[in-house]
Amino acid sequence: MSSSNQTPAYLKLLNLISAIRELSPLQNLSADEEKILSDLAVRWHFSEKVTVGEMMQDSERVSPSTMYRRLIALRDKGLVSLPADKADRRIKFVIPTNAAKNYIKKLDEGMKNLMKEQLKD
Amino acid sequence: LSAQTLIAGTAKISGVAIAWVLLFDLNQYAFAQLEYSSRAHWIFLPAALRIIFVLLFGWLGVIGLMVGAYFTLPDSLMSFQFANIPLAASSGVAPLLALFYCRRFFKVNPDLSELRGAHVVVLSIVCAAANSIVLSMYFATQEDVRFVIEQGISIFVGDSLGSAIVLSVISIGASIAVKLNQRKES
Repeated sequence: MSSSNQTPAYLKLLNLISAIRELSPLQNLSADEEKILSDLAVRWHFSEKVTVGEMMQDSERVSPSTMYRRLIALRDKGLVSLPADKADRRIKFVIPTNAAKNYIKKLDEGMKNLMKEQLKD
Repeated sequence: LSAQTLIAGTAKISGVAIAWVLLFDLNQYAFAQLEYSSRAHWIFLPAALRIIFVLLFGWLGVIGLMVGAYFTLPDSLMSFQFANIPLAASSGVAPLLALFYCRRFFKVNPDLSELRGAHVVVLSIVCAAANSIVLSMYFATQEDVRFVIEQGISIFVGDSLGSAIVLSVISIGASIAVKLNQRKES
């Protein structure tokens, strides 16, 4: 532990507050759920049909069952719907709701603003 | 060691010490009825500051906590109390012990990235246990064993509850602030 390491104090404070914020019952998304939503945003960009099975298979950091639980949590929070395929009821799709689309739009705007600021510098 | 570093360091130490004293006074005002002894409380709000400031400021946080704790111990303001130094030191040593112990189970990056809410809770509880054990070991050399055990339990419970209250206030406050900000932006 060092008091004089190079990390600015405000960055540490932001990370600490973000960790503490996870404890709040008012928090909408956990850090893991945010990460899954970001991953989904990339997948939705390339393909409209993302299945629950794909998400479970491709989960590297967590087990498939944990991924499934997180998708269910996202559904319960109104960010995705998980309709079954009409031809094969065993296949379930992960579809963004309007709330998720707004969330992704905000992320996109944030990234664009950041890029603009970087280009200015 | 530049003058600027020295000033920044002194400001951090003073800030930590002042935050400790203010939260201690608030604790005395709000939970005066829950005092087990002059050195142990069933709810002790400043306990939350131990982990927070050591994570944020490292050794400067440790020193600030010790200074703040010294000034809130009985008779410290009247004259220099040598006997209060080990008690004050415990406030800085306990979070260090907690960090040292918990690093065996999860990583704490210098920039605190990847730190989770659960980690902060675990660190706070281990810190409460470390503080209780360190203080009890010190008191065991001077006081009746039964009193020391009871006081040790009250210190652990008080530190844990105090940390829980402060962390809850920060987490709910931060969530409300984010929600208000989101509403304002949309």
